[in-house]
Amino acid sequence: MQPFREVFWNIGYHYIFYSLAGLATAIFLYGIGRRWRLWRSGWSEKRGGSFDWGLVLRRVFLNASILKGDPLGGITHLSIMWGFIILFLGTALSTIDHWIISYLRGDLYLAYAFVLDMAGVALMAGIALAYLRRYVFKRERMVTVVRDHVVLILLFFIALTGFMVEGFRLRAQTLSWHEPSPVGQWIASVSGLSIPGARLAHTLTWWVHSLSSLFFIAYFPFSKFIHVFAAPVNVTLEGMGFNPFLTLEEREALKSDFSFRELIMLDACTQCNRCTVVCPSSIAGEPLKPRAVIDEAGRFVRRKNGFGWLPGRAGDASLPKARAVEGDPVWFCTTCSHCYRECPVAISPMDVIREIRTARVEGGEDVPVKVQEMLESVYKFKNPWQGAKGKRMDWATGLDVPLLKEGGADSRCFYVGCTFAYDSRLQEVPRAAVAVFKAAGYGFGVLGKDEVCCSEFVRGVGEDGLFTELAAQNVDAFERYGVTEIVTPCPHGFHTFSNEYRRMAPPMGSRAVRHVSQVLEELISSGAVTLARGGERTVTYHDPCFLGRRNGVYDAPRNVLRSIPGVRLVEMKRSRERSLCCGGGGGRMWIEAGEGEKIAEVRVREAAATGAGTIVTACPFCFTNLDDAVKTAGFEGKIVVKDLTELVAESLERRSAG
Amino acid sequence: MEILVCVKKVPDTADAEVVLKPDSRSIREEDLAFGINEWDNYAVEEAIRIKETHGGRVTVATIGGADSEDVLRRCLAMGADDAILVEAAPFKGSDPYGIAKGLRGVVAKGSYDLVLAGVQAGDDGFGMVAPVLAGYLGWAHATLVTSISLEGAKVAVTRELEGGLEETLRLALPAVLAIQTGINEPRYVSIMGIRKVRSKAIPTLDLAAVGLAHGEVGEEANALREIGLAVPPAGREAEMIKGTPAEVAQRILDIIRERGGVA
Repeated sequence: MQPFREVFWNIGYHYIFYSLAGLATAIFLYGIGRRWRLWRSGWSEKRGGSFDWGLVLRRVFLNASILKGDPLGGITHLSIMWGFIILFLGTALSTIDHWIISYLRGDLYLAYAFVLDMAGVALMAGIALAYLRRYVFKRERMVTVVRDHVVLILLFFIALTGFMVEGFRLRAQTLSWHEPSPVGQWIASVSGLSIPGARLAHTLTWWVHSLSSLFFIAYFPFSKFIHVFAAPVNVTLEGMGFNPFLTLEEREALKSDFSFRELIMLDACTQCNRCTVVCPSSIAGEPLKPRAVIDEAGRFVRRKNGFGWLPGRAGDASLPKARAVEGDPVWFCTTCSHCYRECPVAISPMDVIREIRTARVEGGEDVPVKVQEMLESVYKFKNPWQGAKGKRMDWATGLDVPLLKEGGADSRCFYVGCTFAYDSRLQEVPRAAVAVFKAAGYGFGVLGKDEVCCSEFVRGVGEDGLFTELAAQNVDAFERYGVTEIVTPCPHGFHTFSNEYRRMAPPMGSRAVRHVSQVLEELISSGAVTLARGGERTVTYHDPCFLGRRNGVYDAPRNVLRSIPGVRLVEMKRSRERSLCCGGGGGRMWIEAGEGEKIAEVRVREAAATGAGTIVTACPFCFTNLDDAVKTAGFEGKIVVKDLTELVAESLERRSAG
Repeated sequence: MEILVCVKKVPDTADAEVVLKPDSRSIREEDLAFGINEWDNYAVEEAIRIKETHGGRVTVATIGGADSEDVLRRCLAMGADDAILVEAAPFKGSDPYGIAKGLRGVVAKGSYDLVLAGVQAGDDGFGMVAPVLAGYLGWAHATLVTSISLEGAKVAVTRELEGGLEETLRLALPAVLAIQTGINEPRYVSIMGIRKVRSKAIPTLDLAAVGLAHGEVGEEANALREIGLAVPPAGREAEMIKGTPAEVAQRILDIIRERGGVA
């Protein structure tokens, strides 16, 4: 007789099992259907790309983004996930064998038995690791709540009883072959049961195993297990070039307040807390915890929609999106994007927060007074600093800065930006850039008083309408002045011109946008400017989020620094992709920090730890925040803050002086 | 409660350098930013809050050109129900009496219980329109109002006095109240909010519609005659402190010490 396993061996009352299985499946399908309907109730974004198999393979099937930065966590998840998938497939294969076509016979059966045994081991080992990580290694990141235990213990229990069923069966059966199920064999040998005893134990554990498995199926759509569906869908959407940008007409026409993608994000989250560990606001001890935001917004959406399972309740209008997260936390986000970069399943708490801000701004409620003043300033003065239009060119006093001409063509626009134009200390930066450009014979012109706020942070605080208006004004000026290339010293302008304007103000088209650090790198490497040795200085470079993490410009500023003779570059413990935000993005320049340590003070301490005497950055907000923090954290006289462009211009000056 | 709020579009001159035109009668407006008069913004917010608590309607009115429409739309987006634009051309050069005559006509076309206005306008700073309007209407009025509470047919208001004092008055309705800044925290008006009211009709009233004839308002009819504008000469008492921030701070500290401000 060739090896095989008799399904329902030693088991009676099949109709009870099938009735319960039918019930569990019905509940499962109902739950998944409710969830899908909830997701589909959201407005759907435009998608720019096509299906990205590579991304789905790496992130979903290989867990690459979970392994990254936390290999043990990745192994834990891989073991549980693949153990689960194989056991699930094994059960499905066995069902097909029993009902449709009998094929699990002979060597195929032996291989099947072995693989499933190993999958069970992997699943249980993964769950054991999950507990080791929580209670023995005490990973600080991990936040464990009751529902996490329910999931882990339920899976462990199902695997354990599965092995017991197998062990008692092997003890009770006399087989003419050896079944390669090591765990089952081991349980059979140590059970010490008589054959009738083993048969009884088998029947009992079979029912326990089956009922808990059916419970699992029914419970699945209403639990954390929903991430098994939501997370891969979210990763897939990520790969499809998800585009949340809406024109104002489209936004007005929206029938629902959450988007399809947002609703999926909220269900894809397993509360792993990776976002919160890297969140600058959380690090500084402020009230924002991205994980908690997603949790709260997720519970809000489910409550709004009949808890995700009550029938007939679609979108309770008495629960407005502005209230999806209560209180202040949403105003602490710096939109540094670290949460999104860190999330293994492409959830972006930052974007969820921004959308809640949009709802609040549009309703005019709970907008911090300073943010309101900033927005009113942008509306009225076209800059966030209430600077008079007549003073926009004050930074260029005494310099011969060429103004672009209306109707020009092929112009390169040096877009100064509001903070560089109006802040008396930071005016040095565009002045330095002009000095370098002139020394290099690099042609450029400015828009002068026609330059208006880029409004990146206006969008950041959720005022999409105002952002769209200002974007249109800027793009209109680019058109009128025949601008084909834009160079800016401000990463916020750089980011919004190169990403958001292209999607929201279509005439932006293909105009080239470069940050001044990229231009400096080019001018130095081409030999257009040569730099002379000045004093020796050790510097550390602070990556502006909107240059680095948002746009991947990490090397240009570093190459510039390395090419300045006498400058030695040292890195902070958090740099490049993992850089810590200065605390100035997302409108935080206009939002009061909490009581405790400021984000920028944390950053200045990190800089001080490198031994560098100079913090170099390339962003007006970073500069202001770090410069203030140098004073408030007691490093005045020990550390200075410089803009990259200033250092380059200084080594030019020395050359012309010498 | 039917409330009329009188608003005005003014240039923001707080940080701008104001340059006189050669005729010394007006200022150059090219580089100035225009918006709702700050005091009026508080008045509109206060009216909307009264409506939200007690019900009724809020109407905003301005005497202005077509370019004043954005200010009215902003008020509608804040929560005002109606807006009225009075054609400004015949009012060119009018003093506060002329403006008040025009607003009297607006009030007469409705049945208002309360008229709110800002204490003063940020450009000419007369502070006269509200009291003069009350005079023309024969209504009670209060200026520098920092709180309002309705008590049936009366309204209790707090007025700001000098030296940190306040007084409480009780006025019979209808009344005209001139609102001081800080009475509330005006809500934010988003561009999306303004867009939502972009197609709402704003009736325009000509001179006849506000019950006036040509010659009753405008520069010729003024009771006040404006002679000219001038930038005040720098006073001798002012000391311009120059130097590095540290030197400036030191000098300020020295001055405070000299005058006995700190020990």
